[in-house]
Amino acid sequence: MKEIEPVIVDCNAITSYGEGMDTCWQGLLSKQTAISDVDRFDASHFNSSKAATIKDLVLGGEKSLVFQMIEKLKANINEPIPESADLILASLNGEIDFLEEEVLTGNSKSEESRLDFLLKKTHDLFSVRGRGMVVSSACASAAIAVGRAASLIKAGKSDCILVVSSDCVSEFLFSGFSSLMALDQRGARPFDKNRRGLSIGEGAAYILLMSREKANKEGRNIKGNILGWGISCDANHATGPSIDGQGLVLAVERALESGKLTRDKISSICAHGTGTVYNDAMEIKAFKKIFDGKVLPAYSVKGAIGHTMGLAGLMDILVAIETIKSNVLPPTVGVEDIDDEAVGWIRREVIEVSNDIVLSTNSGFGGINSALIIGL
Amino acid sequence: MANVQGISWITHNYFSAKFRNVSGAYENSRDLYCQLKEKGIIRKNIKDFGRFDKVSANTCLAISLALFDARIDHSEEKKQDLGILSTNEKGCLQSNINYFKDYVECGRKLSRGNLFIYTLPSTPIAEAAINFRFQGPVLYLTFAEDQTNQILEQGRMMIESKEAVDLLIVNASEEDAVCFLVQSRRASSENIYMALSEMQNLIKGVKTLPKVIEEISKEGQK
Repeated sequence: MKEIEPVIVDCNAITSYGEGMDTCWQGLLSKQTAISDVDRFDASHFNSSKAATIKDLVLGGEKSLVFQMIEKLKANINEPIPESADLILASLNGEIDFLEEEVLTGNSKSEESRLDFLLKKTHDLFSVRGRGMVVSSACASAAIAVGRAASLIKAGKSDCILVVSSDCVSEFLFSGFSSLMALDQRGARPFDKNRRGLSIGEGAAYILLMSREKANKEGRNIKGNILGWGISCDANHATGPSIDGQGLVLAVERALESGKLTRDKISSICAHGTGTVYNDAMEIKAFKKIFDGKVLPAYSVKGAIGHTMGLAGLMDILVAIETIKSNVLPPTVGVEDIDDEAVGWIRREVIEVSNDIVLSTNSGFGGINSALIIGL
Repeated sequence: MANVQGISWITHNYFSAKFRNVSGAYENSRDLYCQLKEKGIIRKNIKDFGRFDKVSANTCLAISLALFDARIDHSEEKKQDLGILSTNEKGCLQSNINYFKDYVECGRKLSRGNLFIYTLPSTPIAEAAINFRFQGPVLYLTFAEDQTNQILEQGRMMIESKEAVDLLIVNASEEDAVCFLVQSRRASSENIYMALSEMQNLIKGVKTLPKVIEEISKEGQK
């Protein structure tokens, strides 16, 4: 029996660079970071005041920060979304500013921060009538959501799935990461020798997946292909990754196996690269184990658009599609003095490569790892 | 075909492991933890149990019971290829409130990292994976309705598509929890089990977690 192939027929994003993936891509290639001082709340007493925010969002209004971004996203849809599409929403905290408002002002709004409420609103906004599901698996949420979508299409359970993801820069998150001493005062410098932590970012993105048969029938332009996906858990620590990188290795092995691919097929890596000392060290260690002596070009976008939390994995897919389209890899914005362990893998410059298949990795709190393999 | 080889549930004052017919009353999470340790159901200490939020405590206790019900030894140091899927109605809403309230009450300058880590809906299952040393997929999913049935369906699909070998599937709130141990392999002769499809039929259309627990416990009395 012929296997059903899940393909990407449309995608777009809103980031701190501005609206649309073209704007984001040009921002990345410009080597300029979108990380700056936060003015949404007083961040002066945290161990960093830097984040990648979208400036015209309104905090404390009727609409949450996340929903304002999803509305902007809706206005940037390129292709029609079938009404019958199923919907998967990926988010870490969703409309967390509603909860902040309740605690700060006494308004009873915390229930509205529930992810199932956001799912319903997103369903209505995009006018889709299919089944709905929320995935929340720390900073691997969106990557896992896309893996689930691809799996459901491959299994013939759905022929069209819209994945939407968004997270915002909030005092809630900022104070938490500050308490864990996980923010870099200067702004994130992934894979830098002197990196000190991450910078939180925000945005929204969507990806429309279809079976190749449906995409062909509708005459859709195919932008990419989710070839493989894998998830694992370090089973190690609540906030820190496993030092040996074995959990991530396992996720990548599962992704290769699900795509019936061998590691020599991978052309480049879109790393999670948060800028924390332990995450970046763990990732490079895992890549060295997986590729066994072969050095591949890799990059992280988090020094440019910040760590967009639950959205991060989807942003990585959208950037990977751009790299495949252009045979160009963006620089790792923010890195100055590349960590000795990452030399050869990470670059400060834009490079041209023959780029067919990208490995994208994400890791989150609780030791959750995800790997996706993206091709054309 | 996927089989349910362990079923456990916890209500506000009662716990049960279905196939091995172990059940009893308890007063609070600490009391239940001690009872399960005494009975040999929890084989080694659950690290940091005292700092867990209520959903994490219920999740870990229900998982301990389901592993016992399925006769799976989790006391070894070796990591196992077991995944955990979880769902619930409200995510980590109460832990979010607890964290942010504490931060505001402390002057809005410093927050507590040990409260912050429970502000993710996936933290309870991550805590369980760390404690029981499970390396399989760990993901939190929620749905507009029918959470338990829908997450069982997602688990079935993950097993059928070989994305997971064995799965613990949990619906845990601050008050109640139900946990299913679902395996792709055939059950050994000493194990009682039921087909996952049979379980799904049993709870089809049952909306709330307390009602799901009621249905499953009734089924045991037939």
